[in-house]
Amino acid sequence: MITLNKLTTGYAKNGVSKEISTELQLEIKKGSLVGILGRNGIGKSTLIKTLAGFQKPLSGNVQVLGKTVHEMTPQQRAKCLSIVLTERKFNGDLIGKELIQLGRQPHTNWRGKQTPEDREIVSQIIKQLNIEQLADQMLKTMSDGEVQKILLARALAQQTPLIFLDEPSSHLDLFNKSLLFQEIKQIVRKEGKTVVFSSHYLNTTIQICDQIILLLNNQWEYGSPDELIEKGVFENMFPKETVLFDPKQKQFNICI
Amino acid sequence: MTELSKYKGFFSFLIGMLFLCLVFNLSLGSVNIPLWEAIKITLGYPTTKPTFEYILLDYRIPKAITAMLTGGSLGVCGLVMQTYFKNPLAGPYVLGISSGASLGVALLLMGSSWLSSWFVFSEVGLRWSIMIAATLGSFLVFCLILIATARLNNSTSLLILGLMFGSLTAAIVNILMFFGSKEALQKYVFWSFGSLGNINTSELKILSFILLIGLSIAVYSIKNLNSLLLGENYARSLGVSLQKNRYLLILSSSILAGATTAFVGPIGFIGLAAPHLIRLLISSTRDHKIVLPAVFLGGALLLLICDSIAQIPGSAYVLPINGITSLIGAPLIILLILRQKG
Repeated sequence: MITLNKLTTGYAKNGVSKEISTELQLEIKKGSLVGILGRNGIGKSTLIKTLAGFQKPLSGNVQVLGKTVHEMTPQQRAKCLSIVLTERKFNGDLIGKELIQLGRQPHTNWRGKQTPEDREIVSQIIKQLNIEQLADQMLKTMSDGEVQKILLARALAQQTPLIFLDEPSSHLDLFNKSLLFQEIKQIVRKEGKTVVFSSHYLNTTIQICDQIILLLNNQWEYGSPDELIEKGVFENMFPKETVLFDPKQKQFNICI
Repeated sequence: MTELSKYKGFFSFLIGMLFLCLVFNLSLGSVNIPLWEAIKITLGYPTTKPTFEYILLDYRIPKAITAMLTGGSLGVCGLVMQTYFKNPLAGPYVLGISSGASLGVALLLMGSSWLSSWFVFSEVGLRWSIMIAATLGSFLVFCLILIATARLNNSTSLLILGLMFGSLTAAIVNILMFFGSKEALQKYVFWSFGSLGNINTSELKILSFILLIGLSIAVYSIKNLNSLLLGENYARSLGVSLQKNRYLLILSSSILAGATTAFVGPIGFIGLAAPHLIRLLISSTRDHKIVLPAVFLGGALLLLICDSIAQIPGSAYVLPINGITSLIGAPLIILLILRQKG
């Protein structure tokens, strides 16, 4: 599904490049839920944006379904992958349903005309995510969790085999976070979609993911949660006097 | 996104209002033409008073059509800029295109004492020289903005840049005014008042053709404008080519603002007020398929009303249209915003 070939992400400014993740070499299989884990500022968002073709890699490349992502046209990419970003720069006067319908844009004609099928797909997704009461509300009146659901619905409406989520749970409380991840897990299981998300919630990610890309300083690890636990990579993630990893419970604990 | 049929009533209301204002506007002026006569002549029925026919067909109807076309175009231009810049204060003038037109006209009228060998014009050719100078001026700023657009990749920087171009050209105009002769200064000030009635039928045809091009580009961009409601990054993830789209939107608004300023002079506030008015009237959708045509009708209606007021019913005076639009537009926006908050 996705192949990373010696992918180095980062920024190049005025001829000086700042490398963030170096020479990632891995393959993500169809129908898997993959979490990108790492500390704040380690480059999770940069990696997601590079995978989704928003940002050019410093070297190496990303292949999605056999094509190099940053060489695709925006239209080709829009039919192949959808994304939920952390930024909230949209017009707050938009109605929930209108925003979700915008997910159909890549499939409509030049005028953006919605066919009855487009409308059917949108109402199906609204029903599936249980957000009927949000459909007629303006975005500026919604809570963070509600907006997140609308944005996920929009990504689903785009009907792409691949979905990227950048920090999908960052503003949510435990209940809404759990609901969101249940929903994501369902989408992966039932519809066979591939979902890649970034998060700094270590315990949740270890619990729900099929595979984890762990970003460390100038280093990376890739594997299923159990493989990574066996390798002992989580133990060295943080200074032992601050955060300790318990391999039996599969979770991080704060040292008090 | 939304079905057009749901808004049939709203569009009928706008078109009805526009028709009423049109008839009212045609009956106004220094010569009192009864409403009924105005309607008859407009619809092509024979009339007993040939002077009425002459006044209507050669002056008032072209003026009313100019008002509706330029008002609508300025409204659409304002809407496009507000969506693109995600800024409710953006309008046709934010890119500095109109200031460029002013600079062209100021250079022609007041710089000509220095450049007298360049511009030799008679009183007859003056109007065309002004139009050409305004077009060249706006085209110059347009080219500068295109060059800047190629280097910038975010809309906020472009917004600031446009405002700076505007200030810069305004400063040059000020200095020119300081050195200009009394007559030149007077001509420039009269141009800056704006005038809808100075346009004849053949000029109106040219103006309509140019505006039609600008409006067609805006209509072609409707789908992308809708995607832009989500912000540039989401728009790109929905298949919008940002660079190409940016050029199209700048081209469209430059044509609309530049041509309007060149033919009728600067007209403030319509481009800002029309989109606000329409958005408050229909709050249930932000789909440009609905909002854009509604804003065109709203802008046409607003400028027609302003023109009717500028006639001062029952007197021989015509007030400067640019003053009236600001006088009506600014309080309208204040009122709308205060009501929205309440």
